Order: sequence, then C-alpha cells, then structure tokens
Amino acid sequence: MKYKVTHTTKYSYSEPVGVCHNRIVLSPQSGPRLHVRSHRIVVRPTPQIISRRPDFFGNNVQTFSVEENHRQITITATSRVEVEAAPSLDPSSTPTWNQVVESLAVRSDPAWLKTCVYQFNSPRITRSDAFADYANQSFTPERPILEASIDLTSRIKNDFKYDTKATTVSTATEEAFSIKKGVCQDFAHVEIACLRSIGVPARYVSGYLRTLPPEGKPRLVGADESHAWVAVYCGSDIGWIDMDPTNNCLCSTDHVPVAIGRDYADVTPIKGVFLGGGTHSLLVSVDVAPEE
Amino acid sequence: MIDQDAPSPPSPQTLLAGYQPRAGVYDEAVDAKRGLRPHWQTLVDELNLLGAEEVQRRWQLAQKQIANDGITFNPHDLEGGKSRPWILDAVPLVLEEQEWNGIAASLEQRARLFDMILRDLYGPQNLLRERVLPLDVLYGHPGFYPAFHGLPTPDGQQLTLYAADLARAPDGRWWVMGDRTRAPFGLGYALENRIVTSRMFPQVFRRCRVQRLASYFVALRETLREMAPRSKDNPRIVLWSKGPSSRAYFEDAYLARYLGYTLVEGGDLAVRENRVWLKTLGGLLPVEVLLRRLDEDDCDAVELNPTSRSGVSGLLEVLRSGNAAISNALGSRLVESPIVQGFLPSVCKFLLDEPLKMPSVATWWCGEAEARQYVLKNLDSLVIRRAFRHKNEPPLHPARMSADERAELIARIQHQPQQFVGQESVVRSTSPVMTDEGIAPWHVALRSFLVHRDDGFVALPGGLARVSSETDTLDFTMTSGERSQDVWIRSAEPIERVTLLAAPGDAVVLRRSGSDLPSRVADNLFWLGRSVERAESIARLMRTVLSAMTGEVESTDVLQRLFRVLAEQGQLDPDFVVDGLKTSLPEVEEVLPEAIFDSERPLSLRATLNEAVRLVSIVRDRVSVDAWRVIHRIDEDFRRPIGHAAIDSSDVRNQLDQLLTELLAFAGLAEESMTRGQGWRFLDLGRRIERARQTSVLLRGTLVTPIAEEQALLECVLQTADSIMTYRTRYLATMQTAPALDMLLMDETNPRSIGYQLHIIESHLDELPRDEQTAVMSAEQRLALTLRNSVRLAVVTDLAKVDHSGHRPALDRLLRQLDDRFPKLSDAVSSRFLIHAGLSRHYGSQSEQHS
Repeated sequence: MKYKVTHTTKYSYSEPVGVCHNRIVLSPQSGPRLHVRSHRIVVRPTPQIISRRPDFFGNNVQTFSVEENHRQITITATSRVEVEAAPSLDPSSTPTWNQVVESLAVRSDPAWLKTCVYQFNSPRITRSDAFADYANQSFTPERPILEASIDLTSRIKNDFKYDTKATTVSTATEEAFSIKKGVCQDFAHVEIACLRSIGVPARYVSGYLRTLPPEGKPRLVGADESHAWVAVYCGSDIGWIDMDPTNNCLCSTDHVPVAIGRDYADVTPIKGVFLGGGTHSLLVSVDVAPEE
Repeated sequence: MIDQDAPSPPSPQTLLAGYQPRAGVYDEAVDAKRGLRPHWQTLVDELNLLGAEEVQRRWQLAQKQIANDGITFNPHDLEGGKSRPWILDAVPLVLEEQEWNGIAASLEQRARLFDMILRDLYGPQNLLRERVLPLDVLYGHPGFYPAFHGLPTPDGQQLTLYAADLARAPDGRWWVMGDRTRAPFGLGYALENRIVTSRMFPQVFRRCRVQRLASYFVALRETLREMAPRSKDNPRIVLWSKGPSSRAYFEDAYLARYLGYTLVEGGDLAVRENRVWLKTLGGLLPVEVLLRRLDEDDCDAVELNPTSRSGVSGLLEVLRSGNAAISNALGSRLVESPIVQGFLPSVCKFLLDEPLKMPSVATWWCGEAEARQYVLKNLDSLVIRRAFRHKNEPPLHPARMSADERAELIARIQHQPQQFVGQESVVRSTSPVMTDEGIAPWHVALRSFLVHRDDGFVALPGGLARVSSETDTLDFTMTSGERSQDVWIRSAEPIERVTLLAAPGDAVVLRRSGSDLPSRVADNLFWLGRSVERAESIARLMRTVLSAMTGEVESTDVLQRLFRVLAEQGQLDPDFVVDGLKTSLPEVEEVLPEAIFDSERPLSLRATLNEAVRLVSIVRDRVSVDAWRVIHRIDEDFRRPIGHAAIDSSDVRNQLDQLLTELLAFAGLAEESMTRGQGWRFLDLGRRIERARQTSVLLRGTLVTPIAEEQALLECVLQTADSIMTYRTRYLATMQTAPALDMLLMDETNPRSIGYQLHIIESHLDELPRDEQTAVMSAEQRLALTLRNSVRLAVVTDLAKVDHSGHRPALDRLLRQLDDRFPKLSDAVSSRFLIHAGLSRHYGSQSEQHS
C-alpha cells in the first residue's frame, strides 16, 4: 500500500519569539515492511542550522534552531511511503511468553542486548504490580505470546473508553490506567506498562493511521491524526509485532510507522524551547492520502 | 627525611598526653604499642614547641579567619537552607609519602577504569554483551538518557574529574567507600583548609615538607584548556554553577575565583549558531569549555529534563557537533552508583587485565538472587543503600531499626531488589583531633581528588579529611562530618614550588575592559550598589533623628518633618506623622530603635543590609575578599542588642556610627580596588541613582512646606546629607535655605548633591556598551539628560521662594519631577542591559498528543 503523508505543525505566538531550539522526530525510516520513497521536512521561517542523525533507537532525528524573531513557525513533513502487509501468523503456534522471557534472561536469544532495554522502566512508564496483575489475566502460564498479546490488546480496547477530553499529552500512565480513559498515547502506554511489568519487552511506536471516510463521502484532506501503538517482542524468530490497542487490531497496511522508542518521551514529534512568545497555540494537521 | 625520624621514645608526648586510641581501631598517629608513628614525629614536636595554649590561640584566629572569609557550608540543596560555618581542626591528617603514592596509584587505576566503563557503556557495550555488568547498571539507572549514547567528547574522554571516599580499616588497609564522578564536591574546601592551616602553622608546615596542592590545579587547568575545540591557547572556560540556592555555590564561586574562570549559571549562557555563548553586557562571547557543577539532567531542557531552569537549551546538539566541550561528560554519574562497586574486580580484569588495586567496600547487589539472599540473611551486619545514586539519601542501618521498620525494609528489598545494595561497614581509623576536652581520637573519612592528565589521572597530593567522634556519620555525604582537617602528604625530598601563573612560554593576551561581565552579575552589582547606598542613607537619617529626639533640637516641628521623611522611607508607620507629635513622641522613641533591627519590615535598615549581604554572597567572585569581609562584619555586628529590655538609643547611635564607618570602608574599597570595568560601573550606577533619590526624598519631606524656624531643620538636613562641614566652611554659621538648596541640589562639586549624582550617572551611561551604529540616544541616556538639565536650569532663589499658602512651589515641582523619573531611569537601565529576554519555555503541554 502506498501513501503520501503530510504532517503539518504550526505554532503561533502572541509575542515574537527571538530564538527557538527544537528536536523533531517526524521522519519515517525504511524497515522490513516500510519503504520510504521520498521524504522531506520544510521549516518556515528557514532555520539557521538543521542537522539530522540517528538516535539511540535508530530513528531519524532532526534538530534545528530559528534565531530570528518570529510569531509563527511551521514544520511540514512530507513522506511518500509504501507499507507491506504484515506476515500472517497463527497466534496459537507462536512461542510461549515464558519461553521468550526466559531466553532473554539466559541470553540465549541472539537479540537480547538490543531488546532488553525495552524491559526497563522509562520516563513515562514505571512497572508495577497493578499492571502485572492486569497483564496476567491474559498472560496465563505458557500461553503463546502472540495469542496472549492479542488478548491483552482487546481487553484494553474493551475496558478503556476512548475519550479525547480525559487526558493530556502529559497524563501519567498510572492515571490513565486508573480512570480507564484516554487516547491512543494512553492506551499504548498502559499496554506497554502491563507487558513490561511481567518482563515482556514492549515498545512505543509513533506513526499514522489511514482513516476510511464514511461510505459515499469523499475523503477529507487533513482530517487525519498522528497515531501511536505498541510493538511486542515475540522471540527472535518472529521479532517485533505491532498491535493497536486503540483499534484492537494487529497493524498491517493501514498503519504507517515513523519512530520507535520506550515511550512517548523518546519519540515526541516536536520538543523544543523558545524565548519570549507570550501565549502560544498549536495547530496540527495530518493527511494520509493513499496513492496509486 | 621521614625515614630518618627517630623512632618515637616512650616518653610522654605533651600534645598527645592522654591520647587514647580505641582498641581494635587503626590509629593514624599512634601504633598498637602506643608509640608515635614516625611520620607524625615532626608535627608533634613542632606543635609541642608551640605549646598547647599557642596552638589553641592560633586555631581560634584561624577559625575567625574562616568566619570572616564567609566560608560556610549549606548542607541543603534548597532555597532557604541554612548555612553553617565550616569548622577546620587545628591538627592535620598526616600521611607518609610512600603510602600515599600507593593510594594515588590505586585511585589512578580506578579513575581510568571508570572512564573506560563509561566509554564502553555509551559506546560498544562490550561489558554488557559479555555480561561483565548487568544491564541494570545502564538501563536501570533512573537518570539514564538515550541522548548520552554516542555523544562525542574530546579524545573520547568521559571522566575528567573524579573523587573517591576512603576509609582505613582496622588492619591498616584503605578501602574505597564511595565514588564521585559527576562534579566532585569538596575541592574548594580542601584548598581553603590548606590555605588556613599553612597560615596557622607556617613554620611547622615548612618543616614537615608537605606536598603542595598547586600541581593538581595546574593539571586541571591544562586538561580543561586542551579540551577546547578552538583557541586552545587561551579558550574561554566557564564554571557552570547551579546557582546560589545550591549547596555547592560557595565552592563554585571559590573555585571560579581560584582557577580564574567566569562563574556562570545556565541563564548566562545561550546557544546560537550551534555554539555556546556567554551573554555579557558587551554582547555574546564564545565559550569553549564548560566545567559543569550541576547534574546532567539539568543541562539542556530540549533533550534532557524539560522542566529544569538551570540548563542551556540546545547544548547537546552543540556537544554533538564538537563545538564545545564539557567536563565531566554528560552521563558520567552512572558509574558512581553503588551497584557498580561489587562488579569492579571483574570489570578491571576484563578491561585492564589486571587486579583492582584498591578494593571497594564489600557490596552485594540485591538484583542477583544469591547476593540478595546473603543481604537478607546478614542484614544486621550490613548497611543498605540505594543501588543508584540519584539523590542524596542516607544509608540505612537495619541493626538499629525497630521490628516494623525492618519488616518494611525487607519487603521493599524483595519487591524491588534491583534498587538496593548491601554493604559491609568499616570501622574507620582514628586520628588526633583537638576537641574542647583535649586531643581525642576521632574517626576519619578521606576524600581524594583526581584529574585527567595525558594518558591517565593525577591525584591531588592532599585531600579533604572529615573527622567525627562516631564512625557512621561519615558514611553519608560530605556534609555530615563534624569537622574537617587538612591532609598533609609528607615528602622525602625538598618541596618544589608550583604556581598557577602561566608558564613563561605562553604569552597572555593583554586585556583591559573585562567586557565578559555576565548581565546577571551586572544586575546583582547594580542592586548591591543601590542597597548599600540605601542602608547608608537610612543610617544617616536615623542618626540625625535619634540626636534630635534626645534634646539637641528644641523645635517639635523639626522632628515632625524628619518623621515625615522616615515614614516616606518606610521606617515608621505613617500614623505617627498624622497624630499630634506630643502624644506620639514617647512612642516613637520606643518604636524606632526596634524598627531599625526588625528584619521583617521590608524596608528596615536591617532588611536592607540583609539584601546587601545576600547580593554580595551572589557576586562574591566579583568583589575583593576585603570588601566581602566588610559586609560580612556588618552582618555580624549590626544586630539588636541582646536582651528583652528596651534598646538604649545611645547604644543604637553607637551602632549606627560603626555601621556608617564600615559602609564607608566598603565604598572606599569599591572606589579604590575595583578596576573601572563594567562591574564597577554598574555598582556605582546603582549607588548614584539611589543617593540622588534619597536626597530628593529628604528635601521634599523637609523643605517644600517650610516650618517657622527652618534653621534647625536645615542643619539636620545638611547633617543627614553629610554636607554640614562643607556648608559651615562656606557660609559659617548662617543657616539659609537658598545656599543649602544650592549645595544639595545643584552644586556639581559636592559629591553628595543630586547634581553631582546626575553628572556621574550621565557619564556612566555614556560608557556602557551599546550599538555603535545608532546615533540616536538611548532611553536611559535621554532620561538622565532630562533630569540633569532640569536641575541645572533651576534658579535656586526661585526654588527657595515661599508662596502665599506657605509652600515652595518651584521646589515642589522640581522634586516631584525627580521622584517620578528616578525609578524610570532605574527601570530603563534594567530593561536595556540587565534583563536578557526573560525565561525560556518549552512546549510542554502544547506538544502534539498522539491520538
């Protein structure tokens, strides 16, 4: 499946901003199922310096500074990508989750060093008994890992209410877990916390979701949103499997990944510091257009 | 030479008479048979020669010197934490050179090892891959940031500064109790201890052939200099402090001054064009090397802790580009975690293929099942610590816990075993300490400092010894020791002199102006100028009022006018001025002396002095030691006399006299000892603006509505404005309004007149850095010129004229104008030079939420 994804972020300020320093994670990277055909970032006003580099997790990260007075800054990321369908797997024939965890613990899994970082606490996720208890209802002893993960994903979808008013970008995972409400970011954080609390490596994936217009209606340009989901480590043979607790599905050609990290903090689309500015407002528009 | 010191005779030592080290504890000075260890002989002989009384006397002098230098210690890293004085013991800790060389070599190995561990963990991670270290060391650390991975450093060096906390066990062996790899604290105190101790006993110090500390600081400066990406000959190096609220601030300022680096806070630095700059009055100046004295989390709000205000936004990207260097490298604190200690022997074998020369105190990390079992089984003999040193937390002693506390601790360990280590406790050696009850054996903790040089590390030949009567209190941070001691490494050879001055080969670029004054420092100096001048004005007025009240002045009208000025200045409740003076006078006599010392009243003399003391302590790297001492003495001396009885006003007058003398001493030091750079200019600018304002308030309160017998009042006014002598020499005893006004308002030759202040203010403003291109006058220049002109153009006889309603309208108009414009002038200066663009903010809750 081919897409043209346009992600525009606009900050407007009531007072001029003299300087801003930013770090952005908006560039998808080719991988096993994703082919990036073209990609470009345009920042207005044009920054003095823009540099790109891979981060610790292998993402494409850019940093830039604007050092002239501005009342508005626009960052537009345009990507043409092709997503391949996920391989179909029989969940019941995947290794048991205990095997996966054990082979990492005894280091017999060849990918252990790269994988184990996703078992630890991270800025937004602290493992706890409460998360483990919730996970253990799906992760019964010796259950195949994919089967258990799919079960956990659908339980989160059912137990939690999608509510854009209930949480903010900085809501703690524990809070989202206790009010059982939130958006994709919270759902992903909760699922990751559950998985890590029982020792299963889990990571946060940021990206886009293709949205289908209601039948008979044209597709609205710019009405899409950036999205996030989780990836579960299913052993060295299968690797990481992406699944979406917000939509209760395994990710395939509708999901376009951009970056991976331990949680939102690692892949925040735009992080920055600015001087001045008075009050400021944010406008984001995302368009995921299927292409021929 | 040490070897030739005669073995100690069993005869009683005067100094050490009655010195009884505890059995089963190693003593630094005395061996198991109660004989003096040879390397202590010279010291003990010399001190005996001085005699106990003389030693005591010199110690008291030294302690006074420490107090005068304001060497304090703030054990809390928080605003409002109270500082306490630093107590240095008279007796140093003496170590013999050969033993010291062994210690230094062991620590050198250890520092190198830590550097290699950091290089590996933030690079190829062989230690993890080969399972020499558990992943928890890196990924389990609460302060791990992925951004530190692969961050380049000059030559890949991670560790520049390292400190080790040592203890000597009963068998005489040294153990490392803890490691410090972020921004080791205590170097400044070690230096100060040395300076004070060597002054206390100069002859003893020389005879003992004590190794000098300077070589270490030379190495430190060379290493930092070589780290500079550009202008390696004379790079701008800044000492980056967390600020006055941090407990390290005293030391930060001390080291900055000693090393000759600019002391900065995050707000003084900025990133532009992918370089770090120092924001100064003269513009931005490039910074090459940052000597970091704050935690790495706080260093860059873009990529690290976004809520920190101490950082420099965009710094990591600059480091990544190699456009600046930082010491220690970001992420260095990882290896000071106690979790690392238990693994060091195998790490040493793996990385260096040699045994670890000095052992760490035995450490068991509870993240490993076997170790955990051992810890839980042997709780009573162990100390429990956090596995990761993130915040300062005291160690726990299970042996001393109640049953409940113990059970709770066990539950915590079992729940999160990775978070804890168990450590053996070491009964530390003792050394002679001069206590109030005579010389006593106290336990010793020794902190040693190392700095990277060439391929390895060099150790400070000395250190910071802390001594305490109990061995446990020394296990926590530096702050818990009850006293400290200088550390003397005795040399077999005569001592070579090392100085911090530049080697003859390096030509220093001549500089005059010192335009690298950070705006924040200029701001503090400006307000310091204002507050000392304000204190002086209040003190003068108070002195006049107190004299007037005790009967030298007959007229109550005079007092009424003076009270009005006092009320205007916030020294007196306005009620006293409104009521009839007859009823209020006795009350004022009672209230006024109390009000002077009341630091709760925001404008009181004491509160004003507090502000001056606070500002001086912030800019202490910019004022001379003498100037600091003067302010410090004022702070000590100018206090309400002790006792509940009413304060005698003659006492207060004496105190005011003394205060004025000391304030003049401060003014004189500023005038005579500060170079005429921007710092001095801002200090003086603050002083001039304040003095002009105070005089204007004084004139308005007293002379605008004249009283019947103005002569007595004029005398008071001239006295308060310190111009009575000049007046008398000019006009003899004739007190008249017009000449008095001329002298206090217009006479630009009288350094107390408003006209003189305006003249100086104008010339200061002309000298301040500004854009050369613009021909237009700046706002503050225009204001100053308007003020000066309105004073110069006034006709003094008009000003003195009284109209039919009993007022002086022309004088009133002029003074109102001044009153209105002085604050504006002050604001204009502030906003132009002193406040740099305000606070930086991060997008925070305005970031895009994944939905």
